Amino acid sequence: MYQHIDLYVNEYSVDPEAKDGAPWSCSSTEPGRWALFLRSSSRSFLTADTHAREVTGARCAARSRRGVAGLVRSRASRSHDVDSRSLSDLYRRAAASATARRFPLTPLAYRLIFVHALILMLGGHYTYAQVRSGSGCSAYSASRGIITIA
Amino acid sequence: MQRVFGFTRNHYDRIGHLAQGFVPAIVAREILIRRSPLRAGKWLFFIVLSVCLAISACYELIEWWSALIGGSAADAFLGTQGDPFDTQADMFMALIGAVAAQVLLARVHDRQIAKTATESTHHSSLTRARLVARL
Repeated sequence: MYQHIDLYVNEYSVDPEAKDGAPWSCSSTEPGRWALFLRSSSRSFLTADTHAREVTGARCAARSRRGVAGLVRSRASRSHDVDSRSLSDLYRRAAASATARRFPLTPLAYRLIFVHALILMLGGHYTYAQVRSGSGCSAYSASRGIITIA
Repeated sequence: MQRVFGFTRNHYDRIGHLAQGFVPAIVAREILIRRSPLRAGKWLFFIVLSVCLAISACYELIEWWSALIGGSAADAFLGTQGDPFDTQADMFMALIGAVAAQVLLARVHDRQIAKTATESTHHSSLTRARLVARL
């Protein structure tokens, strides 16, 4: 049977049955369902929760009833198939994802962006209708009775 | 340029709009491949194309607004150059750019994405957290 693993960063959830020093632990919360706790240093920082696929819809609905935060979280979990994080984490990532440090693009993308920037700067400097490579032809246009801005 | 091709207008503006489809296509493609369940294929192609056309449409809206605000002075910046179908032509150039980028660069891009993905896996807790859904 297919099962979902719901992953969410939750700094406050600690497995009560965890042994000291273990990097992860697993507890069964109810029959057919279990939770996985991953720990960094002393605190649990990631919880994974498995449950049958059918349960997901009901869980999302329950979450969304808890208010906007719940709604955002359930949306996130649905759109990523499984992945939901705390709201603050989502915001942090949204704010930082535009930077090269957090989400480095491929060299190809950066090169293209660079060329695009050159094109825009050239256009901005001469104004688009008058860029040299394209103009020098007002006389030609005029001779054909065509009015151009350049 | 006009002299060479017998154009009746300055086409630098068109190059700009070609780039406006070409460059965002690769950026959109990259973000979708790396951050969504989409994989290279027809749907990715279509959605990237849609994103580029949407960006181009937004730019045309801005052109329109600046023309309303700036009056005739805007004409040189806009490069409408008296062409009533300038907006449509601009968007068409973006469409050509987006198609061209995806056709010409898809393979190189996929290769580079594969490379970046393996490099960045170990410092992205997000990727690590995606322990895949199916048991």
